[in-house]
Amino acid sequence: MPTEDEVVAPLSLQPRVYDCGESAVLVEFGVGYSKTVSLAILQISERLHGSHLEGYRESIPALSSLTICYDPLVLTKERLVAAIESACAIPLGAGAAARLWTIPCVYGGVSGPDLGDVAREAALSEGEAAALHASETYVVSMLGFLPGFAYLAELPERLRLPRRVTPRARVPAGSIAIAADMTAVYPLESPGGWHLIGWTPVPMWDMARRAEPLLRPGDSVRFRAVDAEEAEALRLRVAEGWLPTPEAPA
Amino acid sequence: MRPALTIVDPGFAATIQDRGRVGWQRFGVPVSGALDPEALAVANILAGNTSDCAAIEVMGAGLRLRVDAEGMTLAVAGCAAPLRIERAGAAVSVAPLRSFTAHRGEVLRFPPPKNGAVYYIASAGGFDIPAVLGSRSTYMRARLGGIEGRALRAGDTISLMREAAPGTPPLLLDASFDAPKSLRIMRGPNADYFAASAFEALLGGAYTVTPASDRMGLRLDGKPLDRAKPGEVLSQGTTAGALQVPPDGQPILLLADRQTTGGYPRIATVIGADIAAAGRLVAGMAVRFAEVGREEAVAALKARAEWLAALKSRLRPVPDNALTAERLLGENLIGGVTAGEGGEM
Repeated sequence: MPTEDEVVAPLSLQPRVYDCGESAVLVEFGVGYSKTVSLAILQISERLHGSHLEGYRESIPALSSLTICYDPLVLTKERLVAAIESACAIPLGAGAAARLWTIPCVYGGVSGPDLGDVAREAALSEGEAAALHASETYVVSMLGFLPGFAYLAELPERLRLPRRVTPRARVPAGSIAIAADMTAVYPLESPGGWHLIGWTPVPMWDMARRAEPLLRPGDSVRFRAVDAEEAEALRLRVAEGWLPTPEAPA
Repeated sequence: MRPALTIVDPGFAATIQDRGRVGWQRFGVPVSGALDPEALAVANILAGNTSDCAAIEVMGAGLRLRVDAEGMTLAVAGCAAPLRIERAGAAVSVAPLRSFTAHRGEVLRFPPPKNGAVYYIASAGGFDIPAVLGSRSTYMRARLGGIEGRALRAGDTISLMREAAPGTPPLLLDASFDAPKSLRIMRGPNADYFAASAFEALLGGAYTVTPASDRMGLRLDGKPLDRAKPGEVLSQGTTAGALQVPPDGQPILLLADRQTTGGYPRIATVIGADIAAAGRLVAGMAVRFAEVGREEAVAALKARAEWLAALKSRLRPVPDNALTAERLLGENLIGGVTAGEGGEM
């Protein structure tokens, strides 16, 4: 694996651009995940979003790439690529202020039916595995799979497992899950192949109340272990409209 | 406003769709929207609507609607056969690609799509469905948009955004919505993951649409597409028309309800001008792929946009002979008449 410096050095110089048909381009910034590159991609995406470039439609930031959708009858590829290059050339760090969220989590039991298996694979007790998961501050590297499904990098090495061989047909909304080097909260009930280690009463995207998901790309997230009683109290507060308040990250 | 339509029988997987939910993919929200956006646009033009109005997307048999408003103007476009209007023992058949007036108490019986996947029912005034994130399109997996984020159900009612205007003369258009024999593609974005033989296979033979296909994508079956290098790509944003290739080598053509990101490499992408046609394919149909360059793809997109823009000026009145049956129905003189079957087709 290259070090982050090696990946970042050519970042502002030579992103590789591939056509996705005539109305979108895939801009690759490397082949592996790097937190620095990922945050840079999010800033470039925000810059394009705010550029009011005529013919720009939207962009999809991902772990090491940015996909940009546009109208080629209004915006030529050449002009789009020039805009991407100039967005890359501006020194990074001037993006939207990231936020730090603390998400309450009931680990194990019926809330996290796979915690026992995960702990066994890691040669830890369930309590140790939960504490390890809660010890890390994760970064929202992208949203995908479902509306508001945030991919949180980087899971501690010891907890990394491939996805389940047989995906579950129904994973409950609020399930906190892990797979490979990521953790996530399922925003809605859906099929899913990740290992379920906990549950949170905090809604990831209450569309009736909020025009945006709780977690935005670039935000930081940590989990705080709570017992079932506290989770139930929080669930009742959520029903009355309560949401956690983010802090500015340290 | 009072309901204008009641769902008597929802049939199979009928949903509310419009042009889709643009601008939310960075938060994981799929675009959704009409599988055949050209047919949606034509239905709206015939109904006198703006292009952002929602319509009912029909994917299967059995849909029946009761008309609860007087003098509603409706229109059907897409892979459609004539519908039947039933009232007090009388029935009349109305061809697609023309607007028609429906009266309170009538039941509209819609056939399954013909020679293709979908068609659209638009109503003058537009369906009054709450927009979610700027769109009325139904995305069932996340229960977003449409009516409670689901397919239509018996007993659902739909209102119009403005009152029906009785007396609107019916109009018709010439347009064809044939399922395509071939689709044009551009290479990539992940072309370097595939062997030269994969491109020969993709461009050399037909691929058959399998029954596992849905609004997310068409699962195709044909000569497997060999890889030059193994493994997945690190999850990337996906786009409409992408041909993603799972490890079994059989491509999946991504459609309206595709997830926003995915890790299967994409060998090629169906060009924008052919996306609507791709949405017409159904299980059992065979399709071929032809490679074009970027300039040709942009020119083809421009041609489709110009075709759509010119349609409004090509609307013309429905000839009198096609209206006779409806007059007879209105005077309640006859029963079981079938007229205008395939009339303008």
